Amino acid sequence: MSSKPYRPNRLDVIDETFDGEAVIVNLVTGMYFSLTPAATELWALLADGRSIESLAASTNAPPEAITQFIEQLQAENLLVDADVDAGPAATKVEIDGEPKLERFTDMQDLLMLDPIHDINLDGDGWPVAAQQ
Amino acid sequence: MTTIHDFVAAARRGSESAPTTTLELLLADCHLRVNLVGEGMSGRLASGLLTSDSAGIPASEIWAFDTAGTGVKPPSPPWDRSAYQEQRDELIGFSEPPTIATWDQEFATLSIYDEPARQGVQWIRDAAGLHPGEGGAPMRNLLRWALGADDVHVLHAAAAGGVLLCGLSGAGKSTTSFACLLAGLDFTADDHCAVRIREGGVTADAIFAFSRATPETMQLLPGLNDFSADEELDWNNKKRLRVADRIVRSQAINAIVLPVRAAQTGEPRRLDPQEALRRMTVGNLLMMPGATGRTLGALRQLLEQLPAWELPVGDDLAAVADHIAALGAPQRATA
Repeated sequence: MSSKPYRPNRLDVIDETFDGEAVIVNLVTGMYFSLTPAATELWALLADGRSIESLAASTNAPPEAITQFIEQLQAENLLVDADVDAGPAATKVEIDGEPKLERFTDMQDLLMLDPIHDINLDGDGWPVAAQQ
Repeated sequence: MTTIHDFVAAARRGSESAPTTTLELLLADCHLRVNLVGEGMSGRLASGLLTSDSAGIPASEIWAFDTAGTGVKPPSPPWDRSAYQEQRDELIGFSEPPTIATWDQEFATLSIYDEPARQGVQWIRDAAGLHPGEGGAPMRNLLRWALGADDVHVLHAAAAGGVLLCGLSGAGKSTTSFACLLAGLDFTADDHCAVRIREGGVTADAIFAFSRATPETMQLLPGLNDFSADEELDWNNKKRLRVADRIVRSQAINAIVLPVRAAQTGEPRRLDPQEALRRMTVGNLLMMPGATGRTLGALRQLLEQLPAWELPVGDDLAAVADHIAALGAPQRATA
């Protein structure tokens, strides 16, 4: 089991939890995600920075399921490396069901954020209108 | 580095020589002051805003000026050319408080708001080049950022008949809200409104003086012709409607409704809050520059207080208005 700690990618990602189910939005890719209650519990534990080892010690979830969930989060750029591992939670969290991430991509095409490459600036440093 | 104070100083210099229109706005109990500097800015923007007679110190102050009308240039930007982005017009490093800024590349327009200073500025080289949509819904981003600093949320939602109508463009928000207007229900907004969430309830306030309807909606609701502001369709092939006299400036909100286009108007279906949150996220967060966790938090708070419904909207718009009247009634929310 990996002892490398992870935490949410707070620069690009926002989330809210409602009735035990989290919605995560990646503002850079335009993708948003829905988490099962089990995944929401793990996501909450990741807020302090935790490794797979610590997550496994904090819950009754199988380490393989945790590893798979962490890999999913990483693949979507929802996690970054944390400096410190917060270790096992003070109280063990009972988790029911699979920790799963559902992905919604309907806005992705509209929202991929690319720098403007061909920009013309005036003498004061301000861009000239595209139509000018 | 250039700060908001430098931008405001430039706008103030402009106001020393160019005519300036000062407007007081009171939106969801938040007082904003808007200074439109130069005839071009005043002429194009003032009529689109709903003003009040608020006095005293505003929560935020916004300036809009153009160089053509004032002879004043803005300071150099506090970012370099790599900061400009295609989508949402955001500038890298300035997409959330303390300083939020956008650059509309097509219309070469700057919007910048500094939350700690509670000041914002819109600048364009020549007001004649403003986005045509600014006439009906001026300075939408700046107003949203300024109100957000005081926990008032400008949402992509219509408000009518005691409900907040949410969803992407084309979902039927405007059509439903206009059906309510013509049915005699309280009408506040057809596209964007200012929402305040308190423990005791939710209110939605009108921001803009005009609404807009597609030719299809005008055909379905001929009564809207009485509100037509122009002969021609606007830049987005919509009819601009002068609704200021019929707007209820603030109304209590008792439910959230997500209209969906359908062959026939149907019965409302209760949505679970998670599904409603996901669907509201798309229209309210991913499309809006400078939207942050604060906006997502507001949507969650809304769904904690209010039931959410999906309503199939077909051609029977009288039935749509009846459904809204029932869903927006106070007793429904507390049942």
